Amino acid sequence: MNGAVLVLLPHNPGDVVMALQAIRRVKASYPDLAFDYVASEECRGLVEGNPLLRSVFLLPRRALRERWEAGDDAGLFARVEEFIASLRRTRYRLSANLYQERAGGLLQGFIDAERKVGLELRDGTDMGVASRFLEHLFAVPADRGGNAFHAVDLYARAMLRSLEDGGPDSPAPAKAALAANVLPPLVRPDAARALVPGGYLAFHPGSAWPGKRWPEAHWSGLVARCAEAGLTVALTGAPEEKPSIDRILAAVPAPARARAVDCCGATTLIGSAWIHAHARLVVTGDTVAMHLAAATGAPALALFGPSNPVETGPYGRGHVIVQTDPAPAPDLALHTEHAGLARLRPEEVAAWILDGEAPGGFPLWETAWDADRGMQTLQGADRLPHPACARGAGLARVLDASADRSGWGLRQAPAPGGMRGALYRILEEGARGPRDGGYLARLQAAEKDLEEETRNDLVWEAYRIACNGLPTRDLAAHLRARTERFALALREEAHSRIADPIRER
Amino acid sequence: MEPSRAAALAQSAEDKLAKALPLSREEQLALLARLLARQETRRERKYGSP
Repeated sequence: MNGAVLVLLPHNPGDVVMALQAIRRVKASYPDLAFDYVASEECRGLVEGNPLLRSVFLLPRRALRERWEAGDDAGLFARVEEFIASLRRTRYRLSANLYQERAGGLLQGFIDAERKVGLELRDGTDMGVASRFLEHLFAVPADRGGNAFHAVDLYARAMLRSLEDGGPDSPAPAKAALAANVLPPLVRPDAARALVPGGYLAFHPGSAWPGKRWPEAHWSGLVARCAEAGLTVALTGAPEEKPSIDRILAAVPAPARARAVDCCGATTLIGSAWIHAHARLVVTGDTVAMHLAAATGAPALALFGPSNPVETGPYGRGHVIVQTDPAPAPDLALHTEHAGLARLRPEEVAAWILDGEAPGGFPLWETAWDADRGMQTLQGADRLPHPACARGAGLARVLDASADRSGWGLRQAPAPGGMRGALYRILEEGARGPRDGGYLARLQAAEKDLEEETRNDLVWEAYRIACNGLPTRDLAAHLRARTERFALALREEAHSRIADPIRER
Repeated sequence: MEPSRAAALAQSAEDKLAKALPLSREEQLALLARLLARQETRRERKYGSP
């Protein structure tokens, strides 16, 4: 397959790294596809000169802000038109808006692409059933804390399915492809001159979110213990995080502090990635440093608080996650200090680093690859999967089975009652046709009813995701496929013995 | 000082989106410009704009 794909996910460096990892997955299946990328200025170091990408479009936010603040109507429209025109020079095979916000949706509306995945704001029907037919929206569960897929797998599946006309995902990419670097060439920063590659630990204490930060005093304790054991510790962070790093180091006793190398604020993102790439271990929260480590194949120990490690943990094999919140809140409590993280003591983390002893009272997960499903999974010391990953495997069975269009109908599934039955009857009616003018509204209402009743159950979640990427030109065929996929989800639920941790909560 | 025409068009776009009404091309451009010009990333919300 040749042609080009445009990916929109401009903000937050950690998210951009994950989008690049998803692009790598897709390129492993379609090496001849070219990828272009829409990024923000703050992330340009991750995308410019990146061998995965053909072209990079930087959002002209600063120029637009200047014109907006100057009241310059003509200049504002000229600049935004110029940017749109630059995107429209290529007719894309696929445009993937992984940036599910309004600006991304509007941009998606202007892009010239055979297919689009992700939010598109064009005619005001952005989130309705009708627009889902048009946009191949990919879904995440209403409760993000229970998301059963890693974001990279979700992004990759959305792109692969859209490229393949709703067909199955391509076979899992080769190990070599998954291990390949997804960043531009790394440059050793001056601040890292004292570091011996492979001879130090890298700690990244900061995060823009207070809820993701392990307390500074805990970092001080960890630096002290590791340094006293004879290890060199490099500290990384953005310039804004320098006061925090200063406080952390000031609380470390002087002899141990001498083994700490403060690189905070003295590197670019790529320079920071060099430090992480060459560390024996990177210790961090759910941050860009964790994603940079994973992207370069460096082992990471990630300390998770309110976010969901299944969804945004380090992507790749052999990373370790301490999950201090086994049931992350649906609304991601990122703005306040996380009580679970505060309970994780520095001596426990040091004991794991130095002696391999697991912290007491917190689940420890290792990232692994589920070759059958072609997706990342987390497993415990007993090799059992994380409950959300087990749920994800059930979802993937529905998605993968639905992709082969084997014609599953209700005969293979338990007869649905209640709102499930109502939705099923409407789907069947639509597939048979003819459909009156109110059909889509009735379908939308039935879906909404079911969502409200069971927004986190496997059937609804699988149905939502399985409907994405369906071809839309023939509405009757589309509705037949929807009906089959709904039946598959019912069947999977009936046959699966997988516990659903969300419903049980 | 906000650009008067762009601000009015962006507001019109917001109103129409709330009512699921179609947007004109100019409204889409104005809303996009406003979102990009005034948008703050997660880091900017915490640490201020560049």
